[in-house]
Formats: sequence, C-alpha cells, structure tokens
Amino acid sequence: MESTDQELIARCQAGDRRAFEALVRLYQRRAFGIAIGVLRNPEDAMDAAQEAFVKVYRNIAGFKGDSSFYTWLYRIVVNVCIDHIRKSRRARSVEYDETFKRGDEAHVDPVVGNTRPMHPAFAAENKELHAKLHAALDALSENHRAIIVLREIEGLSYEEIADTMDCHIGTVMSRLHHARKNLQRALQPYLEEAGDMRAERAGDGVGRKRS
Amino acid sequence: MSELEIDDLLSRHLDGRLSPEEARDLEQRMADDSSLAEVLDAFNHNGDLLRAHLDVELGAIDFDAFTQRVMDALPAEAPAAAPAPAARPAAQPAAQGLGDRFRRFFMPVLLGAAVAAVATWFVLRPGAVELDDVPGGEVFVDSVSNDGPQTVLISQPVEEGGSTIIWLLEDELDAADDVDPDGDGGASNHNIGKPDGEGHALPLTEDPI
Repeated sequence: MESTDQELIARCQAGDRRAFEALVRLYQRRAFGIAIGVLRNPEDAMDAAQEAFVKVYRNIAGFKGDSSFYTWLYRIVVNVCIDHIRKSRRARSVEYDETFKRGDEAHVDPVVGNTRPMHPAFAAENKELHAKLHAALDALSENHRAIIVLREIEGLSYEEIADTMDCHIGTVMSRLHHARKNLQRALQPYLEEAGDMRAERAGDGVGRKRS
Repeated sequence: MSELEIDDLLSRHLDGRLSPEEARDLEQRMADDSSLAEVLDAFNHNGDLLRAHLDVELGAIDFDAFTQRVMDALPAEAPAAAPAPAARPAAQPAAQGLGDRFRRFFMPVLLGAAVAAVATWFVLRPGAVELDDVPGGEVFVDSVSNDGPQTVLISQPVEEGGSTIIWLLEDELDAADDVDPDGDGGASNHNIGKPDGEGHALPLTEDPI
C-alpha cells in the first residue's frame, strides 16, 4: 500500500471526510472503469461505483491494510456489480447501443454533469469498432468481463485478481484465456474486414498517385 | 496439445506467466505454426482496443460531479470501528486449491457417510441380521467403514467354509432412516441385502476365504 493511501485511510478512520473525498478522487476513475467494464451501462456503473465507495466508507474503520486498499476496493466494486447483474438480469445493451447509433458528437449519455466529446481515436470510422467491442464485451459472462478488465485495464497480477474475485489462480488463468479467445472470435471478422478495406483504400490511393 | 491448451499458453505468455519449459515449448510451436503468432497478436491488439474503448467511456464521465455524488450519499455519522472486512490471505497455489476443492466437495459427503455408518452400526449392532438374499439369511457385520460417499459393511463368515461378504451401502441416509420405521423400538433392516430395485445395499464382492 502506498503511503498516500495509508495516510488517507488513517485520516478516514479518524472520521475525516475530506480524506475520504481524496480517496474517492484517487480511485473513482478506476472503480468506475471496472464497473462499466462489467456492467456495460454507464448509469448502472455509476450506481455501482457509488455503492462500492459508500460500503468502503462504512467499513473503513476496520480496514487493517493487510492487503492493498485497491484490491479491497476492487473486490467490493466487482461484488456490487455482480450482485447488481444477478438482481436485475435485464438487457441493457439496446438502449446503450442507441446512443452510438444517433451519431451525436458526444456519444455517451450524460451520466453525471457534463459530457465530453468522443475521443478522436474513436470518432467517425472507429464508431463501428466501438460498437463491435461493446457487443463483444456484452457477450462475455460477468466474471469473464471482470477478469479481463482487471487484467487488461487495471493491470492486476493473477494473484491480485484471484484475491479480488475470490477465486483460485487456476480459475483466473482459465477465465482470462477464455475471455481473450471469445473477444478474439467476436472481433476477428470485423478486424479482418476492416484490414481488407484499409488495404484496398491504400491500394487505390497508390494507384491514383501513379496515374 | 489441444487448441484450448495452446490458447491458455498464449494467454499466459502475454502475461509473462509461463515457466521456462512452457515458454520453450510455445516458442517451438510458434516457430512451427505461424497462426499462433497471429492469435497472440490478436490477444495483444484486442487488449489495446479494450483500453481505448474504456477510455472513451471514461472520457464521458464528469468525475467531479461523481465525487460530489458519492460524498452526498455517505452516512452523516463517522465510520464505525466495526469488525474489519479483513483482507484475505494471499491467493493459494493451484495445487492447494485442488485440495481445498476436494475437501469442500467430499467433507460434507464423508460427514454424512460417517453419520450413516454410525446409524447403520446401531441397526446391525445385534450382530446377526436377517438378509433376504444371503444364503442362510444371516450375516454377522464385523466392521463398518466409509469409502468416499459410500459405506462399506464387512462381514465375517458365520460358519466354517463361509464367505466374507462386503456390502456397499449406496443410500446411507435411507438406511439410517429405516432404523425404526415401525416405531416399535426395534431395528429394521429390510433395505439391506436387496441387490436391486428398491434395495439400498449392494453386494460389492463375495470372496471365499
């Protein structure tokens, strides 16, 4: 655990709400990243991340620091998300996909406050890839999504993922390679097609220059 | 090696989690089969795409507003010094995990079998019990033991030239339930010794001594 975390946690345990706010600012992006990776819906992810932070606040007095704060937080986030999925089991992808079909400059609904324009890397021609990725993630189970987000986005080690997900390392390895394989299967047709189109465009461009 | 196993190797290779032997094995396989390198590239590339994808979603969030939302949702009182949501011990190695799983699965079964064995012992305690399909109809049950989820009853020969009979009790709880079906205080063993149909005990071996 970094000393910053330790200091903030100690202050939180002494009842300092400003210290907790600092912890939230420090980890909210990562907590939300996991939540949206698992839940695939920004509003649900926002609710889950908020619920997780409130749980952290309620229980922080007893946090002893035997494990790192972020694995503890991530475990709470993942558990809240999986509970959420199990409770609701409702399809969310349709309404969210509509967001991307509208073609607005800001492609994600305002969840809290203002939204920002889409990242340039995903503007225009990458919108379709974004939608494909969204669908490919939707097709994974919540456990597979959680594992791949914890590994690929958060860069957690297998041991940390096992701790976060309350499972064995063998399960982590198995779920991770299944998740990667399923993502690959889902995206391969699109990526091959996109690659062919780029190659064709590049070919046309060369031809025109030469003529 | 199956495709699944190779994918597992590729995935762990990406994370730097191969043993030296596995790494050498995979390198050899990749040298022999160029499609494996393509799969590895795809795994890697999809990770990049995923990161970019989530960056987009995160970029749409106003985190200042989120912080405020969380702070507004906190209970007014300071966090209580409640029992810790204690950190769990470090992840266990796979081999140990297997042992745990084995114990988790079999312990309840073994406990159940032990209870049934004791119950069965009381059923058969008088020593000589009537069994419908045993020549002579009488077996002295000498020992009761557990073999996984099953209870094994072993009898000694009751007369010279007899046999040792090993009984495998498949439905211990039913047998235990039959301790006193008549409510008359006497033990009943009508489920024991019927090799099929409604019977619950099957002869496993019958070896002449």
